[in-house]
Amino acid sequence: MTKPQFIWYYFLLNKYSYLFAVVCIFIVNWLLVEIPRYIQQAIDFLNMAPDDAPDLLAENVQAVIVLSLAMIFVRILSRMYALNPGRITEMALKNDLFYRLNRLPQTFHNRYPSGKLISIINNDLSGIRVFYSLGFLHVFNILFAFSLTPLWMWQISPKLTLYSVIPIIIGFLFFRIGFRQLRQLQAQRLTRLQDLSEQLMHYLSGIDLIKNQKMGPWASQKIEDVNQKLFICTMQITQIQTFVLPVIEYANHLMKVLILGLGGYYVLQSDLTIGEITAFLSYSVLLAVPLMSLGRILTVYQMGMVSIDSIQTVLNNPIYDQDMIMLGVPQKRQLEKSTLKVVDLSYRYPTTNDNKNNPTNSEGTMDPDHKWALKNINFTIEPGKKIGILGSIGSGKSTLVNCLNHHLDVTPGQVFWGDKDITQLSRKDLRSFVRTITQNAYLFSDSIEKNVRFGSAKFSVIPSIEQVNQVLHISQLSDDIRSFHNQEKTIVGEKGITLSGGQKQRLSIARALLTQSDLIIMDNVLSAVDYETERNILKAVFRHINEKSLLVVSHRISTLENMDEILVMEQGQIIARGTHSQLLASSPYYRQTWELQQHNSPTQYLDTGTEGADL
Amino acid sequence: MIKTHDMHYLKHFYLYAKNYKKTSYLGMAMMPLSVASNLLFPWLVIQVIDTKLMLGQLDGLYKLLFWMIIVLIINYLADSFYSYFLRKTGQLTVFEMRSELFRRILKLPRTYFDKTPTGVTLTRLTSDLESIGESFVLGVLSLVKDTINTVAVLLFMFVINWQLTLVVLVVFPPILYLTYYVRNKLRSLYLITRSTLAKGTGFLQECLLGVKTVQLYGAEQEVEDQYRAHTSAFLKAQLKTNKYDAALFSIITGITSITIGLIIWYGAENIQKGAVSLGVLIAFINTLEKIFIPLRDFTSQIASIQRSFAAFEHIEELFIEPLEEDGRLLLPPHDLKERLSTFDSLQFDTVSFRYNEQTPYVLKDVSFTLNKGEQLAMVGTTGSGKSTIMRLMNKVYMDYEGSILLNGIELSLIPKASMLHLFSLMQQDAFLFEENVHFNISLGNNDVRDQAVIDAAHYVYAHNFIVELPGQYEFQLTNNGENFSAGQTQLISFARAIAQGGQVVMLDEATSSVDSITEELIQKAIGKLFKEKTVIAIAHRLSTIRNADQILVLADGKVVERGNHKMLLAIGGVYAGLLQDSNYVDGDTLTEI
Repeated sequence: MTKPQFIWYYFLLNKYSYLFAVVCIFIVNWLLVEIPRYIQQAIDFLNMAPDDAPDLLAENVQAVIVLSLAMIFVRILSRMYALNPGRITEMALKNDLFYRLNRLPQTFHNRYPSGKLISIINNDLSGIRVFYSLGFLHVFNILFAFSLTPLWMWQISPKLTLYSVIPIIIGFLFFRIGFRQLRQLQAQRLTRLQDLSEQLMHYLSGIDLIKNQKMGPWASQKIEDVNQKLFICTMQITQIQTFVLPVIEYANHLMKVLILGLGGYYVLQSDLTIGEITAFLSYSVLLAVPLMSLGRILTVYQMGMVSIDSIQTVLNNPIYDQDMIMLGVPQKRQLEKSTLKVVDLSYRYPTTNDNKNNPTNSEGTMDPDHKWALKNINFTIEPGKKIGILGSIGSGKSTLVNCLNHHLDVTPGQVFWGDKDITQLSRKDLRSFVRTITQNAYLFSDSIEKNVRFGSAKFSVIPSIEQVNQVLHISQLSDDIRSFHNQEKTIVGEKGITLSGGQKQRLSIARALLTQSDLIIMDNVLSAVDYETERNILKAVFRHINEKSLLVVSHRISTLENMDEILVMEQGQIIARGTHSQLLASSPYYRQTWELQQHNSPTQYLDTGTEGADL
Repeated sequence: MIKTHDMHYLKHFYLYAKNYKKTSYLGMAMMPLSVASNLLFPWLVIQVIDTKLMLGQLDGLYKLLFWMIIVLIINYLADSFYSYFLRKTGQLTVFEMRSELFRRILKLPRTYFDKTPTGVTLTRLTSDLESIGESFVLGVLSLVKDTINTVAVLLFMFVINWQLTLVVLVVFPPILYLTYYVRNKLRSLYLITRSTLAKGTGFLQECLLGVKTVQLYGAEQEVEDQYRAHTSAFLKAQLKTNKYDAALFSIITGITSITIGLIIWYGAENIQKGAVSLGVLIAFINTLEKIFIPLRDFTSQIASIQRSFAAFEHIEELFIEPLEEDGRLLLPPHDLKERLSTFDSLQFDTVSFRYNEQTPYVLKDVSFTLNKGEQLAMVGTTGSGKSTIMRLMNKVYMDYEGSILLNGIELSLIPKASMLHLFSLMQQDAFLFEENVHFNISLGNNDVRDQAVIDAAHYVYAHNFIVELPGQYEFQLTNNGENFSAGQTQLISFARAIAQGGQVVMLDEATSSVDSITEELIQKAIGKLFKEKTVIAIAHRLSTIRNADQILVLADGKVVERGNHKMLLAIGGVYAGLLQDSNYVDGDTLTEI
């Protein structure tokens, strides 16, 4: 979508509301200039005091009050119908953005970390909201005010109109210059505040070291410097706010002086009446107020444009075509219980300009020749087969898993589900066949039950609570849950913070088992549970999934012993394959690892957690 | 309204503001000028109409106009300087409070940081102080100015014509009631919009962080439906807010013209009687805005000041938080200087410790002795008490039971500043400053000369990788050292400990794995340390443990075994068991303290 298309698209979303608002805004502005006319007539009647004055006077006064009441009513409507679309557009954009973000591939999310996206959604959407609400209201207010007010003034006295607008125009120029500077300074102040926050955060996280090394004075000085910069910037803003911006208000007063002086002269010449001067004084205020918003409207427009650009960098990312084409039910049924075939799979992480974003494992930055994360991988998982993958840190196990579930963009012709190339399948469809339990269990700050049910809403049959309890039992979590205060209704906290690493992993296993799938991939998910629990989980999982396929990735041989086939990976390649007993005989690496894990090797750690995180 | 018991929160603000008396007096001196000129203008309008225009007199009209311009200029200057000087006072005070609070935070004990998330402390120093600078200072300034001006204008009107003023006052009660009512509505709506927005944003953030999980589970639709519920709840509350906002705005602006109608209607009879002049009537009409606009803003100013009291309360908490060594009995530093110039021994004698009286003991009757030149390694699962021992030695925590003797002196009696020089902390999950490499080794300590930094880097085998960096020792670190690998960070931390020249090295080994080349360097460096220095280590590497003279095996805060590697293996107890399962941590129930 181009920018004008974007603006127009969301504008049309509220076209009736806007249309009604325009009518209301016009009526308000018309009443604004009409009311002083009745005031003028009333005052002139007062002044001239003809015989029948009381009646005419009362009529005019009544007109003023009735019109004012009407204006209040119409103005409420005008503001509601002009400002509400901003909020409605904001909501629509939020939902649209989220829709897109959910469907954009990993390559996008690597470039846009969630913090950045949140800040776009928080800050830029408010810019767009103001554009679609206050921006709209001000444009029409100004348009009508500047066309109606001078016209009405002109009708009273063209000459006085011309002279009296001079001060206000000069005042406006000052105001505009000051306002522009103010915007810049405010942006600068935001960065200053950010600097301060970052610096403070940095020192607070190193507080123990700073205290131990008596670095307090140094840190205080650093903070004082940033603080000082913030103060100076704030005072510059204050200067503009107190000295420059009020100028327009005083220009308005100056205009009144001019009206009294020049108008007074015309009154004495009997060209004008006192009532007309009063009306003129009212009109001068009607001109000044929209002028002040004119200063603002340019900013609203600029900010709106910047925000739209920023939102479009997200919205204009294409969702892959094939991800939008869903399989029909019969096609899907055909692909159930298929074979996963991997043919000569090689994978290399796309090079980025950023070194720090090097997505390979921890060794990646050290080994320049470690470019291929995967090289010529061949294997198949026939329906019902249990395959194991063994390898050390950085051997490419997680990369392989992320290729199989199409998290990473694999080259066409390398991975097949049944007779379909997975690059020809929508990711959503593929993942309804292939269920991955990732290394780092990601949980939502909801109850345990809701976390287990996560992803099951799309199924026509909602799993029963018994089914939830069953999978919790399989993943050996039932006992833990019984000890919790609210059992399966216990809230797990942000990212599951109230659970231990092992509990999180077991919960994610339960989540994966709850609903139907044909192949379950367990990527090193048992690293934080002890031997016995691991054995129990595997036994139960084997029983539960029955004739479905299973791929288990681990660096523990004990996990893999009972698999139908074990692939041994090293530096992105499969260096050996076979059953446990076959490998013990054929692969020296496998045997060595097995022996080391039976006893202990000198370079092992006493308490190692999970492997390095992927991504 | 503002409650009196909230006033004592202002104590510290006032304390710091007092330093800027002069600036604030200058500002306040402008007030009478501002009020006077604000009243003179309508008075001059009356004069122009009644004495010149109505009488058809041109003489002296331009003199009056000239005075009007003068009055305008004075009004502008007085108003601007009033705001400027007083806002400056406010900002200076906030500035000073921020610097002072940070200095204070640096002196707070570890227990404060344990119970307070970093984000909270950060909020105190940023948003809370900002809200004092914005809501409080601006709110009070405009409230004071508006109140004085409104009262003055009303008095002025009253003096000129009390009957007409009464007509104006008639509309006051309904207006005041209305704004009060609408503001209350808006406040409760504000709370709703805040919480719905926060919930929505929280949910969104969660989903974006876990977007891989969302996609792998095909749960896109599911989370979108949930998010849509959040956004539409927010919209609903927001549209209601819009309605009340629009009503308040429109009614206040409309009431002015209604009052004008009332004034003319009342004036009609009285002008004929000669009780009211036309000039007065017109001046009143033109002054009405000055009364009604402040009336509209009044409740919002009060609300803004009220909001700032929450910030004041937070700030005050920080001001009364007890400092680390407040109220502790300590020996005078000069008596200790000689006795603590070199390290002789450290002795733990049945030391127990708990964080507070509600929590269980994390150390129970721990005893050991570390003499000069010895190496002690502590092993145990996470949560067994290793780090707590280290922290007690460092006086991070002070309220222990039992006795800890440093060179024979009870540790709790030694001021922290008198003993820190004896220890060098070597953390592997080290904190790096966003400065250059040199600074991160010397830690800005001027006693550490350039050569000493390089020597220290050599000593721990860090020199070679440092000279390969662009700019070498001048290489700038970013974002807590994200441009360094875990291994490099560890080496820098080693060099730092050496450069600081402490006589006892406290080594806290990391559990995270590093690449094999760096691993080798680290092991070499540790081996060297163990040969040449007094070391106490929280050990994870078998190679480190083997090097130690004495190994303490901890479990549940107790020393369960002690001896050297061979002896402990021979016993075949806890230690041997730990080595057996070495690869596996029972992370299920234990969390790092």
